[in-house]
Amino acid sequence: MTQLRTSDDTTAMILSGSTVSTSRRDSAAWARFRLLLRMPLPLTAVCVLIAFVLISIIGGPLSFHAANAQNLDLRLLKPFTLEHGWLYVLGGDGLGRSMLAELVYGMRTSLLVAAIVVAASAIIGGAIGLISGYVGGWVDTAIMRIGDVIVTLPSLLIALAVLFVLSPSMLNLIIVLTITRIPVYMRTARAQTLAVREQVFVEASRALGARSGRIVFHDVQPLIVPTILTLAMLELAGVMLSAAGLSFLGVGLQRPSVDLGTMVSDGRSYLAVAWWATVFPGIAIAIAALAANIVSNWLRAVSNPMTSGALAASTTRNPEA
Amino acid sequence: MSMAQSVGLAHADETLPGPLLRVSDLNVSFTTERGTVRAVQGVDFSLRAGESLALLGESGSGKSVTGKTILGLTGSQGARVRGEIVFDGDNLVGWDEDRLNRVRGTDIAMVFQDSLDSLNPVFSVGAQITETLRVRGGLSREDARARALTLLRQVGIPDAEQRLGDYPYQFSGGMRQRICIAIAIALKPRLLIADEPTTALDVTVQAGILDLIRSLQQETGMALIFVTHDLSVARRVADTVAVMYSGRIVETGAIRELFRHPAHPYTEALLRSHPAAARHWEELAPIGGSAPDRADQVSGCRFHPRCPIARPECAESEPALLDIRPGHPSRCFFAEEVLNGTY
Amino acid sequence: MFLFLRRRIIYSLVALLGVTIAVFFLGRLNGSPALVYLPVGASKQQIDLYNHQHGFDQPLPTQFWQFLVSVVHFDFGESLSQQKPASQVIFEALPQTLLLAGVALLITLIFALFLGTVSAMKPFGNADRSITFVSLAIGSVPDFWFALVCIMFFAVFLRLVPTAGVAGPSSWILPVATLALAPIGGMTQVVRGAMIEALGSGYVQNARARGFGRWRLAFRHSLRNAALPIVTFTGDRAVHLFNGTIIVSSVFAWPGIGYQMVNGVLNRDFPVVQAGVFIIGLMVVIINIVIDFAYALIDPRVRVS
Repeated sequence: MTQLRTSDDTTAMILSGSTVSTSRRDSAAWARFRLLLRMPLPLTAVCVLIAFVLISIIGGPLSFHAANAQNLDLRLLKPFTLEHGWLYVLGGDGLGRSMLAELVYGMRTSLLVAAIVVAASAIIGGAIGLISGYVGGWVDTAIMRIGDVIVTLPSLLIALAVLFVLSPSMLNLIIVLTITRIPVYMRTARAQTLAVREQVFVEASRALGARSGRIVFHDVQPLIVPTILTLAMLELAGVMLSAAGLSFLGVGLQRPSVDLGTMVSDGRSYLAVAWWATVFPGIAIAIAALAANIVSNWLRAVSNPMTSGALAASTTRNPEA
Repeated sequence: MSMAQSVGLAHADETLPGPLLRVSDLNVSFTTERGTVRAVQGVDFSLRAGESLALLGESGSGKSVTGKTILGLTGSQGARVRGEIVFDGDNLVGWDEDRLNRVRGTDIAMVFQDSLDSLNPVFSVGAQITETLRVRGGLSREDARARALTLLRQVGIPDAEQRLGDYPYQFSGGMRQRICIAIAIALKPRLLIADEPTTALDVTVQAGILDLIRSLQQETGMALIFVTHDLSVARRVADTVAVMYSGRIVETGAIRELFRHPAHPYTEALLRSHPAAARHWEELAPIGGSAPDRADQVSGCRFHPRCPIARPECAESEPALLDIRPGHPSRCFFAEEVLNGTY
Repeated sequence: MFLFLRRRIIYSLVALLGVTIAVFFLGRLNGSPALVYLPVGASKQQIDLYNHQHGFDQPLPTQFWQFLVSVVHFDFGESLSQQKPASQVIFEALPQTLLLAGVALLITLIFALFLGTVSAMKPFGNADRSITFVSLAIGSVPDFWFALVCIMFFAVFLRLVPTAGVAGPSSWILPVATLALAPIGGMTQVVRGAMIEALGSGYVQNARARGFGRWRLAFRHSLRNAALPIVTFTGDRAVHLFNGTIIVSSVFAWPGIGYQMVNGVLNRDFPVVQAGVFIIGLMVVIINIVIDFAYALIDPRVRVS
């Protein structure tokens, strides 16, 4: 029979794709990477994030001591002078601790907590969602309803209440934040699992029954992972901000564990005389969160087939038709 | 690019002044993330008032893009349009949105393939018709409502009065398409472009819609451009047909004449592969291969890789669109042979 | 049309039950509930006495049933730091919070609807890129820090607005700005996405083919269709908004629920914390039901499903 397909002309033409001759097949990831190189803003954001991570890994252990070493001679020291050595180039806080050291260590802690929370909630939430979607039945319903309860309560509220009962610590903070973030991954993973299950079961019913479980795990995983990863990237900034907020309120990290939220809270008392103690840590959080947001926004734009074409077109100069 | 003569009608009214629409050397290309796609290349045709033309071709032939470009609806996808689209003396190419909006709906209207997608789900059907009449037609609320009722009855919606307040999802596919047609003809346009409006419908419903379009056209004297891939649909609705392949027109002519005596291998292949043309199942002959994905890759005649009578010349240069009989041009070096069946 | 609401109400009741269970176990997280009520360092004798007096040594199901009954009556006990029932403390603080959140939401909607639509009319164009960048930027700024910087600048340095408390209309400016900052960024992006989708739809193309102008296409034809995802997002954001009010309460000493909650934590006033958690949970549930109702109003297709 003649191939008289009924799909729209335009779509057929565009999707079937034309030139830009490359000898080897571009995989989607590689094409995206090359697109990233053409866009200055997301590229900068990625570099900033990598820089922050490197600083944290290298500078973290080095700065721990200085971040907590009080030196009352140097309290409320103004920044941007090298009079007292490069350690105090960004000034000193209300108790004379090195702003530079605190910033490095605080960034390390903030990133670490956020990374652990995101990783834990993504893995646990994704797994629960996958199981919930696959098993179905009352287990699925029960898990979903528990997720509803968690989502109903504002995360700050939950954290506040829980950390009131259990004393604040880094571990408790991580646990509480992880629990509040799990439902998002749960629902996403479950939705995707359900979609695949419909397809796979048709095949699986023909195959041996015992294989269906492995089929699902093998087939569903590759579909879920990219979505979860994109989601995790999105979540990174939010978790950082939430953790900082809790530390600010006093129920997050406690000294000697410093994070950027604690720094803002500490600096609050000296707002009128030492603005840098409050302003610098906030700027640090903002930059890190902004970088994460830019990257995740870009990821979303290129993953969406409807917008990726327009996005790519906007980065190139139109060749003469 | 070749400059074709305007297509003569088999039964044109001699007193009509000139073509309502003349498309000359139309070129439309898109920039995508993978490069430039040339959807329409060097297309020429014209249309008289009241005439009905079918743009016939496979998916990817550029027929839909041609139809949309007349109303300037391809702009948002990063399209570049060159050439002339002369409607009633004005060249529409290069007009901005505001100027185009003056002719849209009032002079030229369009009906699309997916009727459900074409109607706004959150407004009632009546509201959508009356909005067109009031905002674009300047009618008062009462007049608009009365005319909306008339239109619904005209397109064959039963119980029109009750159904004015219904929402699109409450209608069947066929009914919805009739509503879309009603909206399109509401302002009495002189040209209607129909982009595969029956493709998504049941065969049994199709006939009704096609007859409706034909009778509306004859009642109102409206010209019609009907985009389709289906030969039987084209036959039912059109006087003239322009066969398109890979962005170009390969043959034009009066429809009955062309179907009986095709002058291009592609047209002939299309006819041979159509179930209605074959008396026995074994006679059905599909066209081997598929339409070229990249418009620039094929050298010479676009169709030659799939053409049953391809000769060496076909790969070297592209044939021009030349009259093989008066008013019946074909883009093939061997059109004469195809016409006479001697190959 | 109200049939589908029934399902939502049932789910809500289940969620509320879940919240009740959560609150019930909140006090028992580290063992005996008495530990939360009594000051730190109470002796075992005091703990046992307290447990017995308040029935905390009875079997768990009995305790839960009693708890459930008292919750239905909004009885969370007496506040340990203020001389009134804990629920009263919360209910008195509720209007301030709701008012603040309401104003902030209104401001957010106005900005986001406009900016998002402008963005969507030409995706990846210059206006869109700027707006998107600003959206991301304001969504990345920590709200508590923003509040402090604003106080420092506008209140202390420029002396334009008061530093804290509720004292006339000018004292609303900074709290509302802090609360609305991040949501404006997020909602602008959601509006943009929903509008791009609506503007790319078949019915908009059809309307364009009839000669309707750009602004009409955006605001009349697309907005109502884009409303659904926007409304969903608003519903999700309601929860975040409460988070924001806690921060605002803390920084501006705004007499809302957040203020009471934070003080409750600082003063070890558990009944207030308990009451706060439950009542806010109740508020969120009610808001979600209202959102569903709004759905049905906007999209007639939902009424049948």
